[in-house]
Amino acid sequence: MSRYPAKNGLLSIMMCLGALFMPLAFAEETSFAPNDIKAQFDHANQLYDQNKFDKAREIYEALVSQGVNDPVVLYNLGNASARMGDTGSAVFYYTRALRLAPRDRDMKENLYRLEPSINRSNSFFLLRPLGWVKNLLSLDEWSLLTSLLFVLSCAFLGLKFIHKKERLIRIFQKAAIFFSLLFLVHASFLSFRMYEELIVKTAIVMKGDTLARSGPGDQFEELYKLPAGTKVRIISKPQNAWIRIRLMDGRSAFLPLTEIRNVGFE
Amino acid sequence: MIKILCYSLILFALCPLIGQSQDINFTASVDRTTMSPGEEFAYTIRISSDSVKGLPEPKFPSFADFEILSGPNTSQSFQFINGSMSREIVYTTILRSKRTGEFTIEPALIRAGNKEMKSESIKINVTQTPSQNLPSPLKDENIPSPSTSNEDLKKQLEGNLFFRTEISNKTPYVGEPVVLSYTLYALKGLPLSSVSPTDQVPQYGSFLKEDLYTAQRLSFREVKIDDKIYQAALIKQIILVPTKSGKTTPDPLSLQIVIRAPRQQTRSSRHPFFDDPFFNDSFPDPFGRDMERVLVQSPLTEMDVQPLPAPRPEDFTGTVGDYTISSSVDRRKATMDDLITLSLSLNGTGAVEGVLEPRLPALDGFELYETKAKADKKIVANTLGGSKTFDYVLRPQKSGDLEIPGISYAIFDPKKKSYVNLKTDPIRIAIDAGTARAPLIISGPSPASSSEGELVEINADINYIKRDLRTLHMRRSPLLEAGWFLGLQALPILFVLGSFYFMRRRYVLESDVGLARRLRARGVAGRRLKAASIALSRNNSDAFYTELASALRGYFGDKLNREPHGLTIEELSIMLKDRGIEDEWIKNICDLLETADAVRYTPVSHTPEEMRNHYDQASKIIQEFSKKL
Repeated sequence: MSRYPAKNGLLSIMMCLGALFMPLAFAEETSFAPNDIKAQFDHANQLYDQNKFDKAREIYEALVSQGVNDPVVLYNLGNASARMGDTGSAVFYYTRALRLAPRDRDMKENLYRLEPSINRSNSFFLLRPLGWVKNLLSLDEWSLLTSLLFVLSCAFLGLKFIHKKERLIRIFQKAAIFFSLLFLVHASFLSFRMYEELIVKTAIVMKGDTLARSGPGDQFEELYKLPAGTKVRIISKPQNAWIRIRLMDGRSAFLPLTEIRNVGFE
Repeated sequence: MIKILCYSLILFALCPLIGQSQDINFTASVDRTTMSPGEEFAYTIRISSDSVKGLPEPKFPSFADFEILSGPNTSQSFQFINGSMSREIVYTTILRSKRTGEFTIEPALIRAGNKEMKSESIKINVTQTPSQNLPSPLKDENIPSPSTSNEDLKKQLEGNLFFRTEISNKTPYVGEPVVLSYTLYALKGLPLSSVSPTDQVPQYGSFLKEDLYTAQRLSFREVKIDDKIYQAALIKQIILVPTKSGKTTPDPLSLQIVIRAPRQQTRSSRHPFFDDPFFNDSFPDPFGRDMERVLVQSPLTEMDVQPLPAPRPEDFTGTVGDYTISSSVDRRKATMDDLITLSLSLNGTGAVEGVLEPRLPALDGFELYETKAKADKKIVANTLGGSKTFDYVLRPQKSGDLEIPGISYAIFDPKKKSYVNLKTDPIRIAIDAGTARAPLIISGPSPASSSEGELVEINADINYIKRDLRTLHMRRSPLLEAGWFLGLQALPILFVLGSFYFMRRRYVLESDVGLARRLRARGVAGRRLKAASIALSRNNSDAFYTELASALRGYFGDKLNREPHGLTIEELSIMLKDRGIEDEWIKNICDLLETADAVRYTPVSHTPEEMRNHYDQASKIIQEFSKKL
């Protein structure tokens, strides 16, 4: 081992990475394009081209209900909904598509055009650059990247312990510190993203002029009307088929459960 | 993945570059423009912005004609509204006029990016003219007397210390700004020690309020009232914009003043001993017992806000002030694919932030897409003004030479006491067909309409569907919720722990040679026995017994940390006995070593069965002593 330390070090890192990410290769096997699904998708696109948006939407929805979770299918479904005048559904599907493909400009632009301005309420000025960075990668991409940095920092730390040569130990130690710092930064962004997608439940108001009330029932005071596509955060458990929500500008109210749809993993 | 890695590495370098455009308001003002020589006045520069970026430093004008008493003193304030922050820095310089004459304070400068901004120049008139003998306002304005627990002092201060409210216009129209000034008057020579506002903050319920001046340090000027010389200091100046008609009275402002009271009032309660001239007023009381707190309050001044006269013009939206109107478009040639911005700007004096959006006429051939409003407020010479711009985003609906008709906008001018009709010129725009697609039907929050939920026809231009689908990802839970992914994170930790254990073990073995030999004794002996086994298979008696003896001596040498070459049978026998090994085992070992030595040094030969027997014995000994030693 001590005769070819550099070679052995590289080999160790590659073995570590291989062991960690090998299952991903098998995981990818769950993504496939069976001919019938691809054919259905192409058929829906043709119907969309012929302005038969309702038929196209039915097929896209069937694909999603079969378990297809592809951002392109969700985006096309959002487009078909938008053409049919269903802004709530369009915003819902664009939001879901963007969670899977956060850097897609078409999805961002369409969502920006359709969502109500209340969704874009100003965040605290210091958080804006952080929000931009956070939205650069999807949750899974942040997870993989953070995990990779964790492996690299552990690998270099382990090599520092194994090797006897002072020069190599110093190199491995610096590399371990560098990757550990990167890991901590990425882990912070992963935490933000995880909080937003897995812990805080986000929903979209599906119908226009949805009445937000001060309590869980029709007898409570009407506070304001929400346009279709309004993004809300669910802040309590349902009570009598009503749920307490918070708007992006911080105001809270109650909405009927039937008027909203959860964007999270269903 | 490389792309992702690159993103993550460069994004932190880019973070500081993510900035925002900065709108800066910049004004310079003085608290008064006319004064007598030797009088103090405050020169104030205000820089405000709705951005978080640092505000630029001002370049002050020359104050050669004045004496700088203090400053520039800086105060900074932040305001958070709906998550957005605005920031203001105020630089206050206290100046004193040196001689009579008319002086001009040149504009102050700031540089924001490539843009240079100038404030207004300010004219100061220093005159030797004796103060006009003003009538006492005490009776007419119902100015409250100072309030203090010391009755004698109260009587003395009556008419000599008062707080006055001056309103620029007591009968303004709704929406017309008025200036409200609070001034403190104190008879010259009155020993004021400190002046501070009370906790009671005035409320201006039916007014919009804009702060004009707040004294950081009292700057007195001399005023003659009823043949008495007073020192007057402006405490606060605000602009109020009435929002409803009728009689109304703004809340009064209160000040707490500490006055050094004359000794005579307190001396009567003291011991006669203290009446000795030694304890006269020239010695300040170290415990502050001759200081008196006095509360002065501004009078309640009623305003009669006038309603706007009827009948009102049809296109009047409620704007009050003296404004001019102008309109422009960002392009005169466009295609049906383009968005055109029509800007309508109102400039002048009045409460600009309250200027309401004009009602647009029917725009033939254009669809109104979005409206944005931006106010740029300025305060010049105690007058509220500035500009407000409305940007209308229009989308052409047909090609040809289209016209945006003149926009009519009625305002009420309070100086003229009448409505004024402002009108812009029509604007012509040439529109090409472009590649415009057919209009789409989209419901929901159309920016052009407030009736949400209703189907509204707009040229919503969403991006087209995608066809580039290589693989269809089936739904699965996120990686962070997958057990296998979380479980795999333990592997790097195990690697680190294993490496650490390896390092510790290596360190221990390097520092304890005996332990190292003991641990590897069996392995070394095993290799030698294997060589003996090869010699046995070749029926080479000499080589077999040489390897056998070497394996046994080496093994016990390593186990007992002794050199194997110098280890005699007798010595080995004694050492094993010392370690409590049974005699039978010692005898077997010694016999076997003697047999091996005998073959090596004498012409004795053994049959293969005997050699096999000796080999098995040696193997058994090594195996057994791995546990015993």
